[in-house]
Amino acid sequence: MLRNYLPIIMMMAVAALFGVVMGKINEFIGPKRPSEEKQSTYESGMEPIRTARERFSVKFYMVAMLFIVFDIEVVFLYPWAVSYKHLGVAGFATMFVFIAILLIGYFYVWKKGALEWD
Amino acid sequence: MVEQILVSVSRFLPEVTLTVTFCVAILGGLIFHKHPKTVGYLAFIGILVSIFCAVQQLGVSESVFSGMISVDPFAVFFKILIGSVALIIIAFSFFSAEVLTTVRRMGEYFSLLVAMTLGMFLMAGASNLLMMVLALELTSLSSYILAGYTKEAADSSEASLKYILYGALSSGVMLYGVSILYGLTGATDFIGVNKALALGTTSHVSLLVATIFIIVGFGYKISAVPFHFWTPDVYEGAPITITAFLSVASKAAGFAMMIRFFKVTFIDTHMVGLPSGMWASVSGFEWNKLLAILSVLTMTLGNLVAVWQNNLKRLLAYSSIAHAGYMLMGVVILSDKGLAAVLIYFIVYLFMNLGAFLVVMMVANKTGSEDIDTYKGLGYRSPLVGVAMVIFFISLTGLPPTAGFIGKLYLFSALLDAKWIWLAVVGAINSVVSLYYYVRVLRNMFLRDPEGNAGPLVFPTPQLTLLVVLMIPTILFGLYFTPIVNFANASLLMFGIQ
Amino acid sequence: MDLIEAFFKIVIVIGALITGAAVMVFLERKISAYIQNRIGPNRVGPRGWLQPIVDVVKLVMKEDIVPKSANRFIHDLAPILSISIALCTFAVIPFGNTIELFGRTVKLMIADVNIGMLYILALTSVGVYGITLAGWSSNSKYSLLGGLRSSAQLISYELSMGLSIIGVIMVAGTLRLDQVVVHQTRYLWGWLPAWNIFLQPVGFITFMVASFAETNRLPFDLPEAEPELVGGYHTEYSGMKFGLFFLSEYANMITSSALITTLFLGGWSIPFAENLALSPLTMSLLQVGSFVVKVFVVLMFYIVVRWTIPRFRYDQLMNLGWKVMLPLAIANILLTGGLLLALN
Repeated sequence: MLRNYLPIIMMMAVAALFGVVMGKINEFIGPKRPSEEKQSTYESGMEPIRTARERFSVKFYMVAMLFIVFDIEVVFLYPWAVSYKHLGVAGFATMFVFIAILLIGYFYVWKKGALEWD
Repeated sequence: MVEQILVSVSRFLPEVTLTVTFCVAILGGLIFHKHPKTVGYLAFIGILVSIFCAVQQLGVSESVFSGMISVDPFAVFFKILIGSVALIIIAFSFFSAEVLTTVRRMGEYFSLLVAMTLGMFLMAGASNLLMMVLALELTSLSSYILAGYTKEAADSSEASLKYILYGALSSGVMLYGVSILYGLTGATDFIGVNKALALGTTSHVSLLVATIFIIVGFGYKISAVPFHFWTPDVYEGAPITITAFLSVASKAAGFAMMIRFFKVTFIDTHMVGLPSGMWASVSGFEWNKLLAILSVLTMTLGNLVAVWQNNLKRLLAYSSIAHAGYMLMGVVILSDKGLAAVLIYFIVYLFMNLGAFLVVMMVANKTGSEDIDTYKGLGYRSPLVGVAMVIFFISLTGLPPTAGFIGKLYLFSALLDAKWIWLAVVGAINSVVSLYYYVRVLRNMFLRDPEGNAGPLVFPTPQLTLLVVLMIPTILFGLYFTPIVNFANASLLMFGIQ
Repeated sequence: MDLIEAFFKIVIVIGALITGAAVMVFLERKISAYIQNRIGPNRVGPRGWLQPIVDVVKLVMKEDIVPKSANRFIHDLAPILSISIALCTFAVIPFGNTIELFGRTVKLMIADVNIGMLYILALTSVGVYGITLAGWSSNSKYSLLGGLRSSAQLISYELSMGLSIIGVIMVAGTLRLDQVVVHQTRYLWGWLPAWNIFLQPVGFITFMVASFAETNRLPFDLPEAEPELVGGYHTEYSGMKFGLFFLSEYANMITSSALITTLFLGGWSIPFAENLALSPLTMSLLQVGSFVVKVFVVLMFYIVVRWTIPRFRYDQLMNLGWKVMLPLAIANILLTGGLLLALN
């Protein structure tokens, strides 16, 4: 059973090897002429002001939280979808209730303006 | 499989009703955003229906959803109790100045109240370690938000944050304990754990560690010392309606869950030769000694610190910690009598504590302050409210002829029956200490002159009606207590124990 | 023996992906030139066909510049992560049925696992990290903005992507991609190939749009948005590390085209070919050919869309993802469920 996954591991190893070789190749072949100007952060030619790692809009956090809620829904749907044909009406009704509850949440989030970007 | 689930759902009606109410309330908040009180009425009706469904279950004793939840008289007792508290709290909310100022968010307030009630219903019935944790989380998450509901007030946000930090830590520790217990026994349902423990092969040290970790979770919920640190700040900062809800319903749910956990999991069903009405714990593990220590610490610290409080909400917070200590005494006895005493105490505690909080809320609505000095001369400025406060505080102290006396009477007699003399003595001394700080408020109300230009306080009739509704049982059950005693005795049966 | 076989398949697939990506870069430049009435690259080799090789050589010879304030380790890690994930996704996609070679029956997919679709979704989720880490580690404001936007965009569209696959799974009743293809070799009413594009039209559209967003292609290329963000998350990258991002974008494009082909366009199947009585080897080769042609058509569609449709504004992008695609995908699931119930 687990043997089926061996090719995936191999593929990951080959891909990672390719990535590492290509990502590091400049360090070996390329020229090395570092200078103060070259190594400063790009900011349209101006002197960089402060660090970039500052607080950013709360909306990104909102998206992340909503994503987790709905992504878990998606994960629940997968096993259900695979065996859907054997579940019959009961399966449909169960998932309908589940999705309906989620849609109430979705509607709520929408109306409260969490999906607005302006 | 499907039939089994459908049968379970039919036994799950109170919770289903609450779930539907929650969804309706959340949508109602969006639809009726011009009339936010509508959501309150919706929530009120929903909880009323769910109590009705719970009453229908009286006398049933079975386990639903493959052992996740028990429906038995014990759970139904707490569901009715918690549901009633929720109804009274919704009524409180209609009068609370704090809640009424936040019109925009009121829909969320009521729906979260329903969610919290749902979590407590689940706590009352949880008979599986996972269900226990889930129910606890549902209750806690809703209460974190509600504690910070008046987010414009700095102390409310502070309360919410402290609550989350303590809550997250203690439920984390509890979850760790649960995982150890699962590792030791290989079962997550209480009965399965009990069967594994009855074999006597589990290591006592690991079992002790697991239990202590789990007690952290319970202790946090019922605010037992030393897990009580959040209590005063949260009770002071949260809106007073939520404080009242936490102090009665949340505590009741925590006790229900704890009692079921300890009784079903650690009972020794093979022990013979015990007097009727007594139980024994599994050999070599006397968890009740742990709880006895907790109980003494809780009531002593609660009462001693309450003496120094000048804010009424804080004072009631410490007093509620002390009461948790009294009720823990009933649990440590390991007898049906002790358990019945706890249930009786809860009915009584509901009326007197909610009543005291209602008075504090009414006064705070009028004066904007919860300070003890505000109460100077209150007995003359508003005689009815003054008298009500006297009755509630006398009852909280445990003096006749109030219901509080009956609660304490049954507790102490159960203790003496089981030869826990020293614990009874500690409890009695604590009651005396509590008299001091309760009377301090009463002295301000009747023996001190009001400050400045304080005229008579006039309260709206609905509030006074509610006050009287809470006051009558506080006296009545002190004189005629047969019904509550019978109810409590009938509610001792738990699924899974003979 | 199996492993040696798998190794050969891996090398062939990765080689094909990288070559394909290089060819796509060239084709994109050429086609965009024609669309804009220009000639495009035509200096190196016949009609400029050797341009990709020269590009790579140039990138390899460049200096690797890392800003002083950047986090060196993560800065190095991000492109490697991006390209590895982009290459690995292909592992579960069947590019043909079976083929008889040297007396062995070789299945034309790298890993025959029973959770194929979950694997793809999992890797798509991990793919976000490459871009996010690149944006964060550079410590440049443009990069950070690009990285943030891109993570928000990717996770938003991942939802619709995951949901639109559900319909396909419900129809096929399996998570194995080869089974999905086999399921599509049937016929409806005897004449219409039972491709999922006909069975799941809504799912096809949502999946297509989500794939565009997942590959950061126009009209969803806000993470890069050259005019505003100077390249976005890869502003601070140079040399082959930059090249890896570029390569992984195109590799992702090929993978998602292959996925669209497999899930909705019948994969390697050739309708009515079984009536032609071809030898098994010819048939296998033809099926691989059919897969490649279908993928190529989808890729051309990608390119044409890029050069004809303008970019969204960010709020439009998020609105589309959350307020249109998500409800559509959920409605599609309920619709599929209802129809399947009615038909059985």
